[in-house]
Amino acid sequence: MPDSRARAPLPRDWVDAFGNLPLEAPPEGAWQRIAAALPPIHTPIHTRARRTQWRRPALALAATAFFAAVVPLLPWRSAVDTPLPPPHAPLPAIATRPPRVATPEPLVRPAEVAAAVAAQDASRAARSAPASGAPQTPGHAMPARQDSPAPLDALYTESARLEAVLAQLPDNTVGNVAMLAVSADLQDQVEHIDLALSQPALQESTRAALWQQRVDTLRQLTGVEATQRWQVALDGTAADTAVY
Amino acid sequence: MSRSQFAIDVPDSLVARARTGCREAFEQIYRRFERPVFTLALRICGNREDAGDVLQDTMLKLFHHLPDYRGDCPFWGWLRQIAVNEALLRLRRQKRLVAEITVEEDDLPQDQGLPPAAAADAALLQRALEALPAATRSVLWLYHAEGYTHDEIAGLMQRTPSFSKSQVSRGTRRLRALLNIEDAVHA
Repeated sequence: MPDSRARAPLPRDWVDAFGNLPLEAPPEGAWQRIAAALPPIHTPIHTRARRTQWRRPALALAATAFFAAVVPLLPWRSAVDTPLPPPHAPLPAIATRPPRVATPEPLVRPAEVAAAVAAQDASRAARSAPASGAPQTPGHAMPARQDSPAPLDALYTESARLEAVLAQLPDNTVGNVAMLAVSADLQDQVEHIDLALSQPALQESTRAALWQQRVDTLRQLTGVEATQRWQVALDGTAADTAVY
Repeated sequence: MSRSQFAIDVPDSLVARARTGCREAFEQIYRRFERPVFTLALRICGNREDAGDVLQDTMLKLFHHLPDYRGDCPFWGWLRQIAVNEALLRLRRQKRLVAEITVEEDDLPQDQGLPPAAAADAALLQRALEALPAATRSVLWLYHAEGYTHDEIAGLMQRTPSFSKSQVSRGTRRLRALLNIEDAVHA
């Protein structure tokens, strides 16, 4: 721990004041924790990703089967419990508290989820392949929608709105295993998109496509998360599908 | 303009060795950046436990994504992006990223002049930062300490540049007010 009581010369501005703050040391054993989580030595990096690939098709199949069984019931239930908002309802401003959404649209479509998972498999396989010499761009890593991208400001706003809706949903550590897995995978996709967006010197078209993909993924995530809460509230949680 | 604490040059040869999976090379990179990553995570997350987790997640992600590094930007900048993303992701998962200073709470006068004398005291400045909402504190740190632009912060936080500007303005005023109180207490 640095001597945090030390007074530096008076800062000229806030940049100076922040810059004078000392670096903090991580706790003892931080490297040991990381080293323990690294893959075994002598494993080439490009083969690491392949180990986990078997889970992806399985997850896609499980998700598809699950939604094929459950999703047809959703419109009836949501129509009874909570009418969907009008399709062109105005979006709230970013700073305002969004309305609490019990069953937000769009509902998750199994084909979309499976396609998204499959697309992620493909992108990971591409990234994990031995270097071919051709530099990869985020656009290559994450295929984007082909239709013309929406203006970025609208995407920022929609993204923030969806994030706020997700933040408003109550915490839930209990739920259906398949939905939790799909939710985790969608969060993983958002993470990868964020990483791609953080690459410097992105072309505008690539940036817009990534933002569109981010909004699409957040929409799916919002649908899954809200449906999950709604299911738990409506049916209770079956013991055989609970995760603690 | 102060230089980010991340701005540490790394030899290309070291990065190249780490890319092949060399554990020693990776540990050398870790040792160079453990403090900048931990400090950034601590400033954004506000507590050492979360900062330790962010350090671990960042370094593991670095290890697995090293083959993706294209070398078209400084290595430290690339690693810093991963660290910022991990820290913000943690806030988002904890639903703390929506905590910000709203216009209704913004009743302080315009920020003008030198920072208060208490800003020279590291402990007081850190305490004042910790008193800010997480999103506001994150924006302030990214803007003042790391030198990100409003557009870049907007991209990192998935918000608009206006959001970044308003949080810098409101957060700086709040910070000044908090430090002015400390000045009065310690006078």
